[in-house]
Amino acid sequence: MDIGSNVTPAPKMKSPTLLRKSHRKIIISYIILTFLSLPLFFMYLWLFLSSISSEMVAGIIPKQITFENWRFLWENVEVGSRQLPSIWLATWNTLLLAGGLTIIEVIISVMAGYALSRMEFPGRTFFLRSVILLHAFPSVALLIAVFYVLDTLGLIDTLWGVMLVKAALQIPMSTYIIKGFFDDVPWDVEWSALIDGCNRIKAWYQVVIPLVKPGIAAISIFSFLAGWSEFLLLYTFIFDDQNITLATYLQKIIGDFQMVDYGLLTAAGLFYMLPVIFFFIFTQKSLMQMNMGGNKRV
Amino acid sequence: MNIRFEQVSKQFSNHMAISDLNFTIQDGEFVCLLGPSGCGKTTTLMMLAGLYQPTKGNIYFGDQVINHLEPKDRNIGMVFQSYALYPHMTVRDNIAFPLKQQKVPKKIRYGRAEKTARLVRLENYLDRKPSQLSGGQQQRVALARALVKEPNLLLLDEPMSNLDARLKIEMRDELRQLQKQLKITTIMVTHDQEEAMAMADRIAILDRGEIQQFDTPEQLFAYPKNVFVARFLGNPPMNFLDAEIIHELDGMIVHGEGYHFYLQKQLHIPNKTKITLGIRPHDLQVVSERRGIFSAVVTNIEHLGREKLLSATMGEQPIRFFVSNDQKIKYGDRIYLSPNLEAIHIFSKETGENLLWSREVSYEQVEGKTGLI
Ligand SMILES: Nc1ncnc2c1ncn2[C@@H]1O[C@H](COP(=O)(O)OP(=O)(O)OP(=O)(O)O)[C@@H](O)[C@H]1O
Ligand SMILES: [Mg+2]
Repeated sequence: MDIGSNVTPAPKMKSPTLLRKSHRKIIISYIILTFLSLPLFFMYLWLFLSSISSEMVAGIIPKQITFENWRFLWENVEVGSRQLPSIWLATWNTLLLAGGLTIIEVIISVMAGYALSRMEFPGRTFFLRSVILLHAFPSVALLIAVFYVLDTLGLIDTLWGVMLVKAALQIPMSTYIIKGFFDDVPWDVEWSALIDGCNRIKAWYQVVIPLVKPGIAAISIFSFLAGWSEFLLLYTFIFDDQNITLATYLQKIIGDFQMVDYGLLTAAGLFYMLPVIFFFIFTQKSLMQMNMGGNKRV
Repeated sequence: MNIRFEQVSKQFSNHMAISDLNFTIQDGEFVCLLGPSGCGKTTTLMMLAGLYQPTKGNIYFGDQVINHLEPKDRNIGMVFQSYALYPHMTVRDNIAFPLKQQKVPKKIRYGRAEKTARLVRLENYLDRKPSQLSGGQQQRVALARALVKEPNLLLLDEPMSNLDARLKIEMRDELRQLQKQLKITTIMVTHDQEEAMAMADRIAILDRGEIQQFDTPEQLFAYPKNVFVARFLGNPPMNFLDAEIIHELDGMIVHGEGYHFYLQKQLHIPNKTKITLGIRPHDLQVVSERRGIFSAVVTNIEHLGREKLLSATMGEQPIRFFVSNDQKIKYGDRIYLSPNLEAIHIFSKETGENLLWSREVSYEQVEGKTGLI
C-alpha cells in the first residue's frame, strides 16, 4: 500500500507510521469534540423524546408515544385555571418583534457603521469606544429607568416599546461589527465610484453596500435571533395577553402553577426552538464570515 | 481646457507629499509623471481628481479654480493603481457604470461598453466578475471603464504595470491613438521611463514632491537639468565620474582620477570646482591607446542582439558603454575610451545642477531662440 493513496486512514493499519501525523491530529480532535458535545446532544434528544411521550423510563426512554403534549397547536391550552392565548398569536407577535427589531437595527447600524468607518467628525473615536462600553452595559440595570421612559412615552405594554428598547441595546454591537466590514472595503473602490459620477450617497448604496452584504446578513441574523429569544424586556414591560410572545408563553406554562406540565413545556419549548435551529443551519455560512476586525480604525 | 497648478502643496498630517507645484498642461496634451516610489505622483492625480484637497495653492481647469469641485462634476476618467474595480459587478457592468450614472439608456450603454471592451481586447470576458480575471485583464477593465465616457481629462495611475511586454506595446499604441483622436488631455503616472518616453508629449520628472524638470522626452534626454533627471532617464543609466574643473585660457580642463581632457567651453564657476561628469553609454567609443581618455578593465559583457553592453572599471569607478558585435573584446581586457565631447554633461557636485545646461539656456536667450526651455 502506498502512502499517497492513504486518504482516509484506517485505524487498524498494521504499521502505525503509515498513519500520518495530521490525520492523527484530526481523529483526536474529533474524539474530544464528540465527547464534549455528547451532553448537548442528549439534552436535545431528551427534549424531543419527552415532548412526544407521556412518561419516560430511566429519564430517557419513552414509554408511550403521544401527541397530547402538542395539543397547544390546535387548541388554547389551560394552565391551572387560566386559559392561555393561542400559540399562533404568540408566534406572530414574536415574528413581528424579531422582524421589526432586525429592520430597525440593520438600518441604523449600517449607517452608523459607515460613518464610524469612513467619515471624519469630532468625537468619532469617543463614539467608537463608547459603543463597545454600551455593549458591555448590563441591561438589567436599566430596567426601572426604561420603565419610566416607556411609561411617559405611552409605549409601555406595547411590542413597539420593547422593540425600540431592544434595538437601542443591540445597535452598539452590530454597529461595531458592520464597521469592520466597511473598513475592509478599499477606499479606491469608493473613490472610483465618485469619479464615475456618483455622489457620496449613490456610491454608498451602489458600490459600498453590495460589498458589505455578508456583514449585513450577519447582523440581520444576529438581531433576528436576539429578537426571537428576547425574554426579560417582554416579561417586564408587557402585561396584556394580546401581546404575548413565545418566550412569555413558555414562562406562563411554567410560572403560574405549582405543578408544571413538563410534557407541554418541552413540546412548546421545542416549537419555540425549531425555527432557530433551521434558521441557523441555513445561515451559518453568513455567520461564519463575520470577522470581528472592527478595530482597524480606532 | 488647460490645466494649471499654481503653488500647489499637499501635506499629510506631518508629511509634505507635494510642495509648491507649478506647471501647466495644454489642452489635448499627453503628460507623463515619472519619478521614484513615494515622490507624490498618485497624490498629484488624486488632487486633480478631487479626491484630495490641496493644502495650499490652486488648481485651474481653464481659468476656473476647481479646488472644491466634486469629483463627479469634473468629467474625468481614472485608472487607479489598484484598479479599484467593482467586485460585485460583471466586466460589462463595470465598464458601463460611468454611463449608468449619466443615465444613458441600458441598450446604448451596453453597446458602448462592448465597443470599449473590444478596444482593450476584453470582448470575451464581458460576463465574468473581476475576481475571475488575471491582473492584466483587470487592469484593462479599469482602462475601459475610464475611457468609456470619453472624459475631458484622463488620469492613469500606472495603467499598464501588469501587462506582458507585447500587450503593453500594443496598448501603448492603442491608447496613444485614441488619445490623439479624441483629444483627451491625459496624465499618466508610470515607473517605466521607456513607456513615458514612448507615449508622452511631455514628461514631468518628480522627486520628493517637487518637479525636477518638465519637458519633451528629447529635451529631457539631451539636456537633463540635474543629476537626478540624468540618472533617472536612460537605460542603461548615464555614467557618472567625479572630476574637477581647471580653467584654461579659452576653455577648461576636466580633471579626474586617472584622466583629464580639454573642453572648449567656458563656465562661470570658480576654478577647481568639484563636478560630476555625466556621459551616456552610447556616447563612449573604444579607441586606440593613443587617443583614449579613459582607461578601463572590462568586467562584464552583455549581448543585447544588435550590440554589446560592456561594463568596465576605471580604478574604483564603474563605467558602461556599447560596442558593436564585431569588436573582439574579452573579459579582463584593458580598453581605452573616448567620450563624444558634444554630448557630455557637467553637474555641480554640490547642488547636482547641470552647469552646461544653464549655459545653454543663457546662450539661447541671447540668440533669441525659443523651444529649449
Ligand atoms: N493618505 C496618506 N496619508 C499620509 N501620507 C500619505 C498618504 N498618501 C500618501 N502619503 C505619502 O505621501 C507621499 C507620496 O505618496 P504617493 O502615493 O503620491 O506616491 P507615489 O509617487 O504615487 O508612489 P508610488 O509610485 O509608489 O505609487 C508618500 O511618502 C506617502 O507616504
Ligand atoms: Mg502611486
